[in-house]
Amino acid sequence: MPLTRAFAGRGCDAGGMELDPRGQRFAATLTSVVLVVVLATGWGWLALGQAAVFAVTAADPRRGPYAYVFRALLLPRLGPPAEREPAPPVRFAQLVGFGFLAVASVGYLTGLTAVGVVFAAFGLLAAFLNAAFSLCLGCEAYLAVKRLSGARSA
Amino acid sequence: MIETGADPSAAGQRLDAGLLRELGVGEAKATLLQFSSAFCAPCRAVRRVSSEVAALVPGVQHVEVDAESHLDAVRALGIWRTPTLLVLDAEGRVAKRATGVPGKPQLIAALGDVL
Repeated sequence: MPLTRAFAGRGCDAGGMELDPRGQRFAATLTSVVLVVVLATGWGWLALGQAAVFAVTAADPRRGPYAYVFRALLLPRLGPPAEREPAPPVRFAQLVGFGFLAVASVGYLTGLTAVGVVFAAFGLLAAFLNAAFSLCLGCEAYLAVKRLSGARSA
Repeated sequence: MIETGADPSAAGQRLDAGLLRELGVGEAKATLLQFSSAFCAPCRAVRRVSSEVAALVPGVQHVEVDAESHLDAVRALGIWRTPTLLVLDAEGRVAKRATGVPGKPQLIAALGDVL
């Protein structure tokens, strides 16, 4: 049963860090709520705050602000998770979220409201699909981006 | 490479033998060829199901490929997302293609058509 290629250093299960999937769903739900408020009020600073949350969570998902809320409020009631999931896919999604919300907050704060609305809406779509259906952004987007941007050796 | 209308890894398509060799697919009555990537959470579940089925059913091999390091093959096969699992017969013909996590019974049923 050969595994053709080891996922050296960065594969699904190579990094070691694992996360409670319920915490990710909770964070995605909270993110969705924040982004609905952003879209409803056009509040640029809140968009910037969410961008910062994405950035911190991408750097270390266990230290994300919403992870602290999950551990303080929900985890004691839920008990330990039945299974854990690898961290790299979560970090990838958070990084994409950061990109969207960074652009959105710049749009809102410089008066380019249309840019803010469009990018905050993309962020909300991804967060909502993650919260409701466990969307795996890395599964859907990463290979496609690589295919379109990666060097062709042929 | 220009994308054509034909879907190169749809069920019924026969895959190029050289391409399969390059991906590490050896001789077997049936092959579960899995494409994975680094940022893919369900890839692990597919690996677990596939290797269990390969251990259970005689003549079946499970080959997992890091899609990112085989982009030419991935393009040639028209694969866009991970996890994608191809069920191949001994001649390299695609019996079934699944994206997402297949159930063990589904996988065994798909192999039943091949073996």
